[in-house]
Amino acid sequence: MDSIPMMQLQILSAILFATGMATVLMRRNLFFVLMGVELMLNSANLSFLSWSRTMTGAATMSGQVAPLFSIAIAAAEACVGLAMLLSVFRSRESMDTDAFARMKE
Amino acid sequence: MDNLLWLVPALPALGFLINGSISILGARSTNGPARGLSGFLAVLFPLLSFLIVVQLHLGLSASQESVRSINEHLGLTLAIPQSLVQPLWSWISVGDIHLTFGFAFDGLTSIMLLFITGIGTLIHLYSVGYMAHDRGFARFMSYMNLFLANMIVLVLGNGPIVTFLGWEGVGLCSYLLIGFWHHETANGDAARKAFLVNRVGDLGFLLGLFLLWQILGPSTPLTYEAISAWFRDPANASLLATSGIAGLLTLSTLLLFLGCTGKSAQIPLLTWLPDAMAGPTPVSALIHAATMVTSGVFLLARMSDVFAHAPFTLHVIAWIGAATAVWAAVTGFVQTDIKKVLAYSTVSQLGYMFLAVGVGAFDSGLFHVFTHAFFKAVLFLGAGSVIHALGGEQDMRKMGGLMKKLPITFAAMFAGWYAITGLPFGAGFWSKDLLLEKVLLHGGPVLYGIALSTAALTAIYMTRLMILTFWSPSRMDHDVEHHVHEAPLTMQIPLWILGIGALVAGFAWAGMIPGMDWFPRQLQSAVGPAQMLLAHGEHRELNAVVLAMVGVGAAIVGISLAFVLFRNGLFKEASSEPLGGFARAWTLSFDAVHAVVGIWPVRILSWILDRICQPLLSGAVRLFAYLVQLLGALAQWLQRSRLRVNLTMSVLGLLVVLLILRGNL
Repeated sequence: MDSIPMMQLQILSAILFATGMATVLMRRNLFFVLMGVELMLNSANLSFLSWSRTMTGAATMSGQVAPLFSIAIAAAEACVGLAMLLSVFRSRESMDTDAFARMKE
Repeated sequence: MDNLLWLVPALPALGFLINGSISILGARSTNGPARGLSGFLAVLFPLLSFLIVVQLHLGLSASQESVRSINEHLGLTLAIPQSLVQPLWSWISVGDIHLTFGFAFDGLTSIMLLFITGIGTLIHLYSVGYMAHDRGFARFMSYMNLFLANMIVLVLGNGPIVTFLGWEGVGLCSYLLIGFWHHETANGDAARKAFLVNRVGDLGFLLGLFLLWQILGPSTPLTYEAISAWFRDPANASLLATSGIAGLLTLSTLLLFLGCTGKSAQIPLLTWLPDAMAGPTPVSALIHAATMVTSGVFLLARMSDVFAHAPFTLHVIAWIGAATAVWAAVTGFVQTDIKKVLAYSTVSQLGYMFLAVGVGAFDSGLFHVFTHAFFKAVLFLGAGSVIHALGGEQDMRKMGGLMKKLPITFAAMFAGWYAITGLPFGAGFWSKDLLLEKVLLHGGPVLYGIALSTAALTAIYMTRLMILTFWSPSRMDHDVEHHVHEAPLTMQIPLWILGIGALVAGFAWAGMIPGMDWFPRQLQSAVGPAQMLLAHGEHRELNAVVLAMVGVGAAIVGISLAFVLFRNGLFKEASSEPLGGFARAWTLSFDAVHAVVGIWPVRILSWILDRICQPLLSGAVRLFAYLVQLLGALAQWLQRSRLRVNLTMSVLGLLVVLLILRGNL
């Protein structure tokens, strides 16, 4: 791990984030949209961790704690998201994001 | 005492409100609104106003007397109070401009108010009898009260802006009352014509006033007191002598005079007054003979200090007055409708008043206003009584022989006739001869000749009216003749009082009798300085007795001529021939001028506006609306609930924000 420079990790994180965002913006399938969101969250976690390595002493911990929160929230989000996905799929017979456009009906 | 001032216009205004309410509340009942109560109130409020005016007038005179005697006995020089001023509230206060709404009462105002409220009360009383069988009785009375309130505001206002308020108000009431019998289209047309022609004059009034204000500077308060003081101040004389200001002042006074020609029916805005005879006869007597039409003369006198500095305008006024007097007198000569004769006679007499003002004799012009109010009111009310007796007939060709049938009406009309022709010691004798004397003195022999021949013409057409109505064999239809009856008492009382007034009102200023100068003393403070300025301080006298004899001679010549023409045979032809040929062309000549100068240009302009400017403007508006719609459609497309588009927009937005924060954008 020590041999990998911080900058390369940051670039990897950015690539992951961009991929996630592209997925969210371009795919019509809601399942993939949720996957994209997960990817974006995890890229942020990676960024946190790599930054934490530049710190010294106790300050290192803060960069490692933030991803833990993030993972917990991401888990909750995935639960709710997948539950909603299922219920929408049941009523609409579709996974298309545009199926959400007429939620009022 | 001076806190009574606001009550003078407020009482008739209250009468208007009460009678208006009665009229509206009673409109649905079978017999119409209650007549007794509204008639009583409608007469009561003007009467109270009149009494207050008398009280104020006596109080002002008394206080002047007491200061004068203190000065005499103690050798002091205390200022003699000339007016009562009552500022009521601050009306407009913007930047440098401060306008106070208030009333001012001085000698000129008191004379105007005495006859406005006095004769006004009598005409209200007459109306109670005249309109008794009319369904709109309460409405009529409320309009009459509103008119009186506005007329009082016009006269009593402390400045031209307050006067303008009343000026517009009387115009409105004139419109309402001319078109009172609105079931006939012709009456509505006459009302609209009066209103529109007056609007032209009102525009002149406003523009002239603004120009005048421009000259005075906006910080000068726009009250008559301040305006007079500014023009009387020798410090401003050099400013007035500069050509730019003098030109501006001439323009301003000409525009103000245009306003006066509108209200007072002078050339060029005189066509509405004869048409205004469509209204009920008391209206013609009150508004279109005795009070409202004299407001032009009043305004000129009120602003005499301004007009004294515009000699060119005064020349114009004198010549327009003379031309109007002759034109209207000739027109009166060829009319067959009894009210039309009196209408043109009013226009002609107003021409006299403007002629006097134009030669710088403001006080004698106002004196003619004063006496004219009496004799023209009685003539109109007498004519109304004749029309009432004949069941609405106004054509003199179908009258005649009424002297024995309507003796009281005849006596009153005779008094009016005696006064207007200028026979010795009637009201018109004193005022008209004084006026002719002043015209000869200040205006020269040409104007005097015109005025004198108009006096003879006046005698001719008035005598013709009397012959056709009273002194010739009857030409009435049989069933009309059967129903002829003398007017009820409410109509007779005003006839008596005004008839006596027409005979004695002239003694208010009997120039030949020493000590009979109540009238000019009242006016001294208002128009004295202007007259001194115009007469260059000279004091010349002509032989008044000789001139009076010349004037009476003209009247006698006119009367004899009329008898020769109409009594001895000729009247049959004259009375049977319809109004046509020369008479028609002459009567309608100014309507033709209006059509060319006023109506057609407006029509062409309105066509251009309607067919060219309107499509262009509305096209531009529609184009703009279309662009907005397009933009809206675009925004709507972005706002549609599609997750990917919305998210992309928000990400792009975030990107923009970040770039701005970094300073790259």
